[in-house]
Amino acid sequence: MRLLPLLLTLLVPASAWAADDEAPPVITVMPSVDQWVEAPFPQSAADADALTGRVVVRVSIDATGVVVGAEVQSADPPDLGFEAEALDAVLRMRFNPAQSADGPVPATFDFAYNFELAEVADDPAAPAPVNLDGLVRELGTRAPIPDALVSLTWVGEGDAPPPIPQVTTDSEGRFALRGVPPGRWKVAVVGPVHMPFSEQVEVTEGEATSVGAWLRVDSTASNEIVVFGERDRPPEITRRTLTSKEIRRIPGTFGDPVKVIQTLPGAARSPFGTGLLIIRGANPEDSGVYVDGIRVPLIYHLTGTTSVIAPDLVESVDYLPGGYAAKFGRTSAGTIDVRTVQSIDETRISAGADVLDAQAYVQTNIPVNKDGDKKLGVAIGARRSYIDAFLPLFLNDSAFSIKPRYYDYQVKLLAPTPEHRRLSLFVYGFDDTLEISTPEDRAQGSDADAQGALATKYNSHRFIARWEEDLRENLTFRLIPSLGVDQTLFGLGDALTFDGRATNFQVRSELQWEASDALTVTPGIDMLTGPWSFKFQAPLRIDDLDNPIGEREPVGISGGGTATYPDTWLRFDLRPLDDRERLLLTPSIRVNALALTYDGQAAGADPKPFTRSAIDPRISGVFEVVDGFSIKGSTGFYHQPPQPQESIGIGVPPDLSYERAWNSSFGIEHKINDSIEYEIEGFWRDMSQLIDNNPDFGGFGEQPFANVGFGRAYGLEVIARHQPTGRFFGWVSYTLSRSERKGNADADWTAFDFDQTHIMSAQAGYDLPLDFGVSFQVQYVTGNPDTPLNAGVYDADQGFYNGFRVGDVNGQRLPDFFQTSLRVDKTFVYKSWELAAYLDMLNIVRGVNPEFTLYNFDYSDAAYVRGLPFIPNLGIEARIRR
Amino acid sequence: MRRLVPLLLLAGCVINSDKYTRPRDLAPQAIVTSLRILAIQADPPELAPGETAVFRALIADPDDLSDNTLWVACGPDRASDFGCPFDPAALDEDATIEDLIAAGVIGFEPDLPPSLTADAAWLEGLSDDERLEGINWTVNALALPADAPAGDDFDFNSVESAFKRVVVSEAPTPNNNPGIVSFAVDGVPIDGAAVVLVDAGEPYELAPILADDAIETYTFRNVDGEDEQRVEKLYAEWYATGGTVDEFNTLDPFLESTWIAPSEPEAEGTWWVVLKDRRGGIAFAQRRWRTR
Repeated sequence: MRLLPLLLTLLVPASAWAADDEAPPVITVMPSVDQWVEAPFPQSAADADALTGRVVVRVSIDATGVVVGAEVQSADPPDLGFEAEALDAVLRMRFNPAQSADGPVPATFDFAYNFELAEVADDPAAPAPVNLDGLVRELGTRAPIPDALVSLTWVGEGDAPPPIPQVTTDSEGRFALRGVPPGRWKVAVVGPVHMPFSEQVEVTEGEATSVGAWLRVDSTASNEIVVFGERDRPPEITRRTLTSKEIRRIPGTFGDPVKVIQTLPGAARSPFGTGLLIIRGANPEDSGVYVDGIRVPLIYHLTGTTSVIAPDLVESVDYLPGGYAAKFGRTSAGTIDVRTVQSIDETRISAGADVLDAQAYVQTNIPVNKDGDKKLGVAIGARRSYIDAFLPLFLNDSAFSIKPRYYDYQVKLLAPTPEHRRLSLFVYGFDDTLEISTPEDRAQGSDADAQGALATKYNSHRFIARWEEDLRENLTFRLIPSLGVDQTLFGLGDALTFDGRATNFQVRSELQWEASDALTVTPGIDMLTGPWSFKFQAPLRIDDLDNPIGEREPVGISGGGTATYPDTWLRFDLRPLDDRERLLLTPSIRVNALALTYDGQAAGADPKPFTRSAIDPRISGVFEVVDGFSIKGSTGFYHQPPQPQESIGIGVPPDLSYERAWNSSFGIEHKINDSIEYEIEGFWRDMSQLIDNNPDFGGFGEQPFANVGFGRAYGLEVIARHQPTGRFFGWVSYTLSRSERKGNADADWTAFDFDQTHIMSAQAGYDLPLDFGVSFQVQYVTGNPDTPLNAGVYDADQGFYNGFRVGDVNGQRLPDFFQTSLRVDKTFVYKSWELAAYLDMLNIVRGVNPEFTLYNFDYSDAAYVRGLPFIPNLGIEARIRR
Repeated sequence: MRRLVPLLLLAGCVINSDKYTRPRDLAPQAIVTSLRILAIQADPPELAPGETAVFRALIADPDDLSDNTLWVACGPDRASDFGCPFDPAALDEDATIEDLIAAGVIGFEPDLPPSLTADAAWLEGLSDDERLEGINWTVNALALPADAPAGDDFDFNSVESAFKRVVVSEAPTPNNNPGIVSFAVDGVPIDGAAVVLVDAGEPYELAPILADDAIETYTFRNVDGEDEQRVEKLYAEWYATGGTVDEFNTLDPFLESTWIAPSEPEAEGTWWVVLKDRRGGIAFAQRRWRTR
């Protein structure tokens, strides 16, 4: 008799994080056993006739593979001594560390230690020939699985022969066993992140037997992690993370990682599910969106259903609702930074379609030298909607037609470089069009100048290069130049047209110097510059609006100029305590500047360059009071330059300055155990110099806007989350907030248009057998503020009523918003590919969900224009991975 | 999966669905079911100093609630999006004609037909070009229910109020109201006293028959000081007391609108068409209909 540890399984990577602040924690190689320690079979178990045992131990290893923590999660059977023996053995084992794109990283995972009481086999006098071999591969990818454990169990008739020692597959997924006695055997194979495989084989005397084992990936184990949280935070402190499995399964997000932001605290509900980013009570334009650190105008298509970047290309999403350091600026509220993949570890081809659009994606590494050891990483994605083809089928009887259409494309190239250098190029763009039209003989209202198709078109394209160089061990240089063009077209028939264009050249650069383990200094520049122009044609002048029966004079205005924002910033990361991980203070400062030049009619006869500047001092800190429990806080100024439409002038150059926000926050984070954590954070935003309508505006040639507005927002954000450590995942987020505005110092405070007192969402998913999955989302949000109107007076010249305001501006609220969505997933796994199908049922149960009030013609009655209806979205996606 | 079935049966369910009015259930502007002022005509719509305009309102009153119309006028400095301000205290039983005139009253039908005479002083201080373009005076019509309280008890919610603008200028080609000579149903001109028999639930094409000079050519001096010859662009508003008006607004040259008769037999009602030239000129016509 001897003790045989039969099965070794790396189960669930419970969490993982990278050691490099700039590298996202995407685990490309899972940890594996380097030095095995055999545990004795517990005598108490043998006395109880327990012939097998299984203990799941949660193991934490550092970046060198040394075990730094272990905890028994379960034992089967329990209390027979298996727990202590397994724990003792695991603590003395050594592992090959988990690998990310930037090298080894710490990891925590579940490890199954199996016991089997077996007869001791006699050692053969001489090596027997290999008579049982095999190849272990992964279902869906055909990839060979190294380090899989192969064991044999006698299932033949008669007395069992001596047990055969287990073996491990080699780097090509192959295994070989010598001297297997003839008879019937069960071959069991377990891979690092795979479901167990077993097959019975007949071993015949004098013949070699081969086994082909196909292992299915364990769907509860995901090695793709998308980070939501504050990238500027140190990686040593617990980050808020969402895995790709969670992201893809949230109903209503259409599997888009960027859309998931709208389920996190601080983000208000946007009307009709559009992608407006309303963060901590701020206007949508007060929050910025970045791709690989480069500011982009939009992140969602016009329909709001998907973002403009293929989900497969998204490596991480940083959601910074506030309190971020000076690296990001020109916005007074939140920031979202979408980072695309920085390494390609496998060849992947996918194509999918749902009721909205079709998309395809391919990534691979292409050898660029004879030896094949230098490879160019290539990733290409594209998507095209076909709603415009479907909608006419549903609008046949309508007097109008709606034709929305969008497409996007992405190309990413990752150059083969030495370890200390990283070079990449990312090209992407999108084009969105929405056209609403009626037949020629059908009037669109009474105005002859408001006839014809209403069309809006937006397109944007970016070239983004990235060069990152480790100059010394403690000195890293980064340069991100980009070139982009944006175009906005709007038209209503032939009478009203707008064509705005901008070329953007943006450069980000920073030098990260780790002066000591207590101090890191990072200076950087963030410059944006480029020409802009617009042409505007309208059937009437601004002054004509005052006289509806007066003569109209068509007006055509064009203008242009250059906009330059040469911002610089400096950041310090201080770890003053001896235990460097306990306290991090991050003071930073940003110097904002802008210079605008003008030509054309818009800015008047004698336009002068327009310059402004502002300084943003900021500080944030995190203190880990005890293990797993931290307090954090931030305060600082955030200046935001005028928006483009505010900067073009109306016959006179603008005279505007930065909008200013003083943002502060304080909160706690508590990780209760490896599965459950929560975070509570309060925030306060004090806004001033807000650009609002100039109360003294008198018409063309005068300032239409002025820095006269004020705002304030405050609230509390809570998120509680169950990590996807098993079949279940989910989180609950809640925001309590109040946001108010006033147009000038003497005005009364009124609720912000999107002020939502309570914002609560809960989402969870569960993995069912047979590769089914089910997930749901429930969202409850306080109704938006509304201004009551009543009892209109008829304007007989224009043919409509003007309603009286009978209450305060935004003095009442629309009914609350409630929706429930459900999603069912099923994956069909074949040897070479996978087919994923899903049914995403948005709004399966919902409230009335008013988006705004619609009055009847004389304001004697009103109804609510309701939010999105029940939308069943059936989609499929084929995936091939190598 | 069996447990999912009840959830799937809930697909599309809306909580409190019937608690609120739906947009499609809001009464359309084209269907007249209560006291409404559909149009106000000033004749002429553009006055030279010293000229007088008279006013008439197209009042639809299916329930015969109103028997008086109060007319109020004010200059551009007092007008707002709701027309002229008016102090209901002026309607006190003891008010004299002088009190009413001081409150801006220019008429009280049926006893005092409304009229407004342009004072030459109204254009004082304007440049020559501004005098050509002119200024707007505003005239409000308030259809008063028979039991409308007066004085401090006056309730604006109980009256139907409308206003229009009257141009006072020295334009060389002052505006005139467009002319409607008849009203056609399915291409057949209908006499004003006739009642058109229609088939219940059937569509009919309604059209105004315009006078020859309904569309005017006029002179306009633009911001560059150049005189332009412009041609009016007419449009129509369509109303009915029943049935369905397919297009509330129609534009020249497609002024016709389709009306679908109510499905009930022996129903009676009225059609109205209001024609506008965008310069303040207005004309209207009406015809009666009855379903078979």
